[in-house]
Amino acid sequence: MGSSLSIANTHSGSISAPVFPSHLSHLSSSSSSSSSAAATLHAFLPSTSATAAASSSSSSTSTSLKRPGSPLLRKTQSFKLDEGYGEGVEESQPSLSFRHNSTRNFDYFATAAGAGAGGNDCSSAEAAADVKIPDWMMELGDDVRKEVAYKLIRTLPTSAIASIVERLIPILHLDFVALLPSELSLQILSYLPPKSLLNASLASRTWRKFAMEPRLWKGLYRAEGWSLNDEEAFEFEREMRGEGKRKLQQEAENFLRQRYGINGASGAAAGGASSSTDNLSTAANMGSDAARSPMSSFSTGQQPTPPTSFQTNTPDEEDLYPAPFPSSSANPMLLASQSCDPANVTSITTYGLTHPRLNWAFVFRNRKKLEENWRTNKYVSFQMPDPAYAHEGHSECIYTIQHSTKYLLSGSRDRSIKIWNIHTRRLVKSLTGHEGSVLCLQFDDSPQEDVIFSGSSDTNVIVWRFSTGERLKTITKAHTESVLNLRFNRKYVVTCSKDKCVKVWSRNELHGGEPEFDCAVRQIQLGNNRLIEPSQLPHYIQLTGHSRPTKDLPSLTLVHTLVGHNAAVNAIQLNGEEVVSASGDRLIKLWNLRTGHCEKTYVGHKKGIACIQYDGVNIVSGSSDKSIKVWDKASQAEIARLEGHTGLVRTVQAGGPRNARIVSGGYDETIRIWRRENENGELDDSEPGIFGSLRDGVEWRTTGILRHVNEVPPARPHAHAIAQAQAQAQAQAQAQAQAQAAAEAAMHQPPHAPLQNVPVAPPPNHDNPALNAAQNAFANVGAQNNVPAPVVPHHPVPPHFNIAPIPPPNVHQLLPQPWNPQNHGIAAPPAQNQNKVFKLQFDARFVWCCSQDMRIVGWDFAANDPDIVEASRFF
Amino acid sequence: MSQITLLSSDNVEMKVDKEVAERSILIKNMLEDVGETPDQAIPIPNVNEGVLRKVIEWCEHHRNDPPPPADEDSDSRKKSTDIEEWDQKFMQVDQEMLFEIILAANYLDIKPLLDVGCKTVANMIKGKSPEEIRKTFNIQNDFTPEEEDQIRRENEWAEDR
Repeated sequence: MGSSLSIANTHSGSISAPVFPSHLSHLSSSSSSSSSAAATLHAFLPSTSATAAASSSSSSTSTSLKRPGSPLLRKTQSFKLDEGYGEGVEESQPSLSFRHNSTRNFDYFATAAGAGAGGNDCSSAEAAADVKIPDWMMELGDDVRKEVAYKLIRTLPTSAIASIVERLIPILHLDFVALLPSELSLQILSYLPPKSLLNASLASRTWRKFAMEPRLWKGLYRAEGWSLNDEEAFEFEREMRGEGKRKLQQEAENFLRQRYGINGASGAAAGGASSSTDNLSTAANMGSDAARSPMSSFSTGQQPTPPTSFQTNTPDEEDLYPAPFPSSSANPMLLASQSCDPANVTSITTYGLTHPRLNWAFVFRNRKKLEENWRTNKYVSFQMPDPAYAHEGHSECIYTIQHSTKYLLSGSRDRSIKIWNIHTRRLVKSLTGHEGSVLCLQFDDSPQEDVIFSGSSDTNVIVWRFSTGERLKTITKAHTESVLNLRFNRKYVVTCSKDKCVKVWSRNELHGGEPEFDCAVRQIQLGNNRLIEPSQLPHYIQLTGHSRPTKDLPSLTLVHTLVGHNAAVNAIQLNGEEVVSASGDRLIKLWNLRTGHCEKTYVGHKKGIACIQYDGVNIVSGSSDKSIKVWDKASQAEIARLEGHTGLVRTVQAGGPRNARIVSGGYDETIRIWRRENENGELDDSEPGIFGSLRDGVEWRTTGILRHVNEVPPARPHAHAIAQAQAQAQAQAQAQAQAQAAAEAAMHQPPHAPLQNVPVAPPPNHDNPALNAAQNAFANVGAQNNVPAPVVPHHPVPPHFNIAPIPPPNVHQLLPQPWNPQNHGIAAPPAQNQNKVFKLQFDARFVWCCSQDMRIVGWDFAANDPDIVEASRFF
Repeated sequence: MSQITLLSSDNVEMKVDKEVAERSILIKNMLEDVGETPDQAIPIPNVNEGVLRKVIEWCEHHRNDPPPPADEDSDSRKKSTDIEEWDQKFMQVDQEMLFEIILAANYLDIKPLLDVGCKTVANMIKGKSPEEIRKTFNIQNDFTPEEEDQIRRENEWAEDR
């Protein structure tokens, strides 16, 4: 003991004599082995360091500690002082620092040092804080000092060691969010999945600001493969900036009212509001601490240039996470809400100083809820027309629908096309012109296109202006039989028909020299162009002399007639310069529109094919063999078969996140929702294997069944019972009507598989074990969803809509309905076999479907959740 | 193999193969702009010796790596935090060194090293409870118990699966 004291005295005059003993006496008070500890100290000090100590003792008088420079740590400290972060959280001093976080240390020194830092008079604490390491000891190499420190520590009782370990935490555990430039912190956080990010958001207020950063959540949103309306998001943020403060203020007030009306607003608000000043005062305390501390010379000792990355931190930080509003001008409510919860997942906006931003955490959360609703069959359904305006509806079954964000168009057996406002569910306009059932249509309501194409059993194709409803052009006798399907893009219109042909028409005028021009001329030569006889050809081409033809060909000139199918071509899909066609001959063909040649044929369906989808990679087809098949376009391999329908599959769409959703509908009166899942029942997001094959264990599973019939309660409930009775009587007539409809839709089979083999009228559900099983399997679904169609508020029709005159309700039954000999009136209840699904379309939130019924049914998977509804504009 | 000399912030010179040093885009551009000056050390004012040695060690090991695929498709894929084995071992350092490496990689513009560093930190957060995260990074919880409860409730939506 004497020896060690004498060493201390000799080599470090600055250590005040009482300190070391007081340290030891403290030890002895808590330990029974103080003498042995002291003995150990006595024993090892001279033996390990005598020479080094001797050599350095005379020269070293400096009080500053030498430690290899660590820009990070030094900067850490000044960063915190500047920014007011930390509140004593960070202690980035070298290990011999005696300043530390007083709140988490309970040993003698901690209390003493904390008290000392606070300016209280406590002599023993100050004395402890003044302990200095002898200079000679500092001259020792790292390895030796390490050993000394370890052995010194080992002399202490375990509780003291634990307290030292506690005090070392700030050195070994660093809050990178406070240390790194915010961009780097964000990059780190960008690797976290949602759950981890939310956990991180609970670490502290500062962490929460980072973890809820919209850019992170936008990244996560994209990573899920969810569709995203960038335009809408941009528009939203622009709006928010424009309206800026007023809206922000309002939202803040609403937010507070909502939350703290329940939660004790004043307390939380006050606490939040004061927190920024707390931080400031903490910073000030720390600053004065540092100035007073004997260690302060440490940071000035070497004068390193601070790393530039830290210098940029402040403005960077400022930009990203601006400080709260200056208190002089700020609305106290606003300030409160901001500091309470700068970014929460329950609001569509998140706060920043310069402008409120779209809260992508909110969008992410609600998209996830929506996807859950799809998986668990949570939805509400409704119908169009609104039951209160039943007279606006079609008078016969609807063969085709298509919708955009604002409008839905329907084509009916009553020969009309109706344009519906999707939000008000009211009729906007009714277009008449076809002389037969409208079997197919496509529209584009964008201002650049503003067009509707429709095809009919009258063999004509009509081009309409969407906005005005005027009839722009008619291709009379486009085919020799019913036009069953049509698709268009900027360049082509493609039609297919019961006449076994696919025809390709140019949307633009054709000029000589264009490849399409030559194709069109060839069609004239073949006599396929009904408008231009071969004899008129000399007007279009110069046979000799000039290389340029004299006349252009008008728009909607026939460019190709694609011949090859041996039965009606029921459906086509256009993708760029490729067309796929599906036929009653059981084949799918892929055509190249540049050459007009069939490039590939896909063989596999056992009966005629009714519907088709193509995205450039995969083809999805639905058939009268009751199955749906997914094909790899390139290898022509069948990569999946979806079985479950008990009747012809009449309509199919593939899409959704990661293209893992298929919705199909058919003559078994059901709509099936399919999900591509791995063996764990999770959505499959693996890359396709060779030939586009699915990974092992991946399957398409039905996750839900929708029934048109469940969703359209009779418009006149009192008539239901009667109608039910009538339904049976009508069944025969209905069946015939369906047969006719089916024929019209031309599910033509090749001779060896005649149409009559298609189950035109599937047995009623209760006689069908498979269906019953399916129903039972989804019994809970039904229970959950037999919510009556929501009562839609009767929105007044917006004045800017150019609405066709609506007949008063009592007149609607008198409307002429020449194509329906068995017309049973608009309000007829649904009956068995009356809901064969003709066409469906889905998007992120809705499924729309038309059937033999005269009403269009929609299923909304937002299920009346206002948050999902609010967020869905960005989906 | 031509060599260049780097000068750390604490004035230690290090000889490095040019090819290795050029894993740093900053140094690469500097060499392109200034040309090679064999006798003159390139100062790296923001990185001290210890960290610079560590960074060079990484660059040595990855000197022959092919340039990273410039696919922006990663945007639509879930981000992986997989780290190759050598890099995992390389990153087994104390937090101070880890963050210094990240800062240095950022300053020197060595994107793959920055990515590995950030992923390493992300993996220290992944799967941890808020309490464990606070402990790992010595974060002071400055939420009131009420606020914490509130946020916990708000976060419940992510608890599934």
